[in-house]
Amino acid sequence: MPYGYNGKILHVNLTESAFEVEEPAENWYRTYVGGSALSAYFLNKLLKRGVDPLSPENILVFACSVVTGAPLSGYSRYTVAGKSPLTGAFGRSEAGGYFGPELKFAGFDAIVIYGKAPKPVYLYIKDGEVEIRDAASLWGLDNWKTLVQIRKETGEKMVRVASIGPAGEKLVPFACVQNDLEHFNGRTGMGAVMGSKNLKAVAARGRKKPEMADPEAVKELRKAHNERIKAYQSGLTKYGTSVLVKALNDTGIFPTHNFRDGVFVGADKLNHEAYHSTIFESNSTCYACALRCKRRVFLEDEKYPLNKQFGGAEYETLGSLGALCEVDNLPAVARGNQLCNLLGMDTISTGCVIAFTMECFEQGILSEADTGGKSITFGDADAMLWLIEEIANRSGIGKTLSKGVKRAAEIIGRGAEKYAFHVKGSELPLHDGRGKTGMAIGYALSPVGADHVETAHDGPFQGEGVSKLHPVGIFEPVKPLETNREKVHFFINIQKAQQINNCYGICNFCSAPTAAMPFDELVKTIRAITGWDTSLYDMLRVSERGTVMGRVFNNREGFGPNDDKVIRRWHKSMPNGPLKGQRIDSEEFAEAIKLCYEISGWDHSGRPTRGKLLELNLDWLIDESYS
Amino acid sequence: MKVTVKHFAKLRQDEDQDPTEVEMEPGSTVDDLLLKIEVEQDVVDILVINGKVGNVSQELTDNCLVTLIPYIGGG
Repeated sequence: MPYGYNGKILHVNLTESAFEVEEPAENWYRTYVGGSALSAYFLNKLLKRGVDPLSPENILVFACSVVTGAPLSGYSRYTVAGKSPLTGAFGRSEAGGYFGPELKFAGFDAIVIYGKAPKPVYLYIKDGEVEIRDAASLWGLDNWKTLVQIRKETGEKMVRVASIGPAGEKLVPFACVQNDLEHFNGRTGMGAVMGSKNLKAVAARGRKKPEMADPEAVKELRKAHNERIKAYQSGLTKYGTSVLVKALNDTGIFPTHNFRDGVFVGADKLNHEAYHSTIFESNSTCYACALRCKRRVFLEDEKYPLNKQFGGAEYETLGSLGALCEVDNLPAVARGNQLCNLLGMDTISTGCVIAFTMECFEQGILSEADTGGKSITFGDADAMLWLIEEIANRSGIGKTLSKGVKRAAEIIGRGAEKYAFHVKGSELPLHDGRGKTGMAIGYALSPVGADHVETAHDGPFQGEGVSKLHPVGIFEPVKPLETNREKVHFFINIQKAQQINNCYGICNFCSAPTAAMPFDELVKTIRAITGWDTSLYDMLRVSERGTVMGRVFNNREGFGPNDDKVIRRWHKSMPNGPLKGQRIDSEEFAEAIKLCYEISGWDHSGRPTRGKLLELNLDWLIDESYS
Repeated sequence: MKVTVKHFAKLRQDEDQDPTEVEMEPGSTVDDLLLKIEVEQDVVDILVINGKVGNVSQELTDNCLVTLIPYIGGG
């Protein structure tokens, strides 16, 4: 019998209002495990080349892993994946919270959704029973009302709901999927794919937790894990990700003014001290997690009221709606976060689109004539909030902007593309690659476009910090500003290690390479949960399999070396701050990417070779990739 | 006793990252050291003592090397 997982995948055809349950063999689970890798398997198997991401031909995958829902800190994550309407490439995004574990307890490890319902529906999965329910009364509702209504309709107070808001229904290509108002599959527009299928929500309630292979060992591992979290991760417990604002600003890599600068003069008004002395209400957490890094916020304010039902702004949002737009008004940024959560839009892409609009105004490319008389300037908090609603409603200038910076710039013309910053069409998370060059290589190579969880960031492994990477063969202290061969070696090995988390559904803050869970403990944990005779080697291969399948998917959609780039601004000198003058040399960077291909067993056009596919047990992909 | 501190508060290799020597009372902990050099413990992501990941309650030893790396990854 399977330990840690159910051995059941639910396939739902919304066009025919039918479903069936697949029970793959153990070897299949050992090969694809979960999350990013399991999703990439279905996308490659089931999607024809060139399907329109918003057509019924696209699929949507909700993928837990074999260990999601195990009673350990950080083992709560699941992936939502499909072909991305934002990029046309492999799309996926991870979220924590309670939905993933609840789906497992309800009897399924993953759901694959096909077709399009003739009218709005939601999926209700309870203790192994599946129901496709009418969602006429939910369509048009924001995420909060949707959650309240589904709890009422099902009569289950503890039902966990992954839903879309009005932005997903209106097919905004960076609409997100969210669970319980504070956990987000934010990136790559999976909310729009859900909307295109007339699927408002997936609700899960289950009472059957998968058995652990060695429950006593899991208990001991959990105890030690939580002790380490307490000893080493107190900063994240105390301040959450807001702690990053000061650190990135002080080191000169806090993206400001639409990725032009690395230092924001208003950072003190957004940082952890400001956050916790004004809007902070309480800590919040994910399933079984002792780290408690999530925040709840509250503010009684006429202009920027904040409600504690929502998760508070995380670092990425403090950066995107804050520094990137030069807004130093914390309640306004937090209000913007709440609006995005209600409407169901990714805060990273939304902030990038707004900062792009501000720069277009600054450069005279857009004017009041384009916005019905509204002036949009950097630093204007109310313009930022106004644009969020315009974009979600696809009204006025929002109709153009809601397409994301790449396509909006094409529509606007007049040189707007010079200020539209993206990788493969995906807007950038809030980390300046000029001071994290390994992460920059990750932005360029990630199959989903710019993605801050593609690889571990460079900074923590400077000096003696590198000691944590010894188990994956990295011995030289990392130099965050170099793009030389040593950096390529670092990237290749750290990326594989980090992608373990996206495949096994583990939080990056609770697992290796952080001190919370060293690599050897991680392997012991997976063994204790599943009973599998696995190893770090085996797990790194799962991770590489996931990356390679994402790559093959993109290759057949026409993506190639020209898409493996970072933004123009990072090749220019940083204008100010501690990294003044710092740039990424274009030629050296291109050489680094080439070396990554070679090490990975990809050919000069960035295609994994037949030998590489065979090595990774992906021989079925050879015909797919080489036909 | 003497303790050597490396503090990676900047990404560029400059004088700020050159090790500094701090005189501590015997029996002092990392916590005491952070207090003395005025670094808030909650903004330190990784703390390495003599090549091994450590924590703030750990006791310092004579001539030990303490490396402090602030939160600059993740998101």
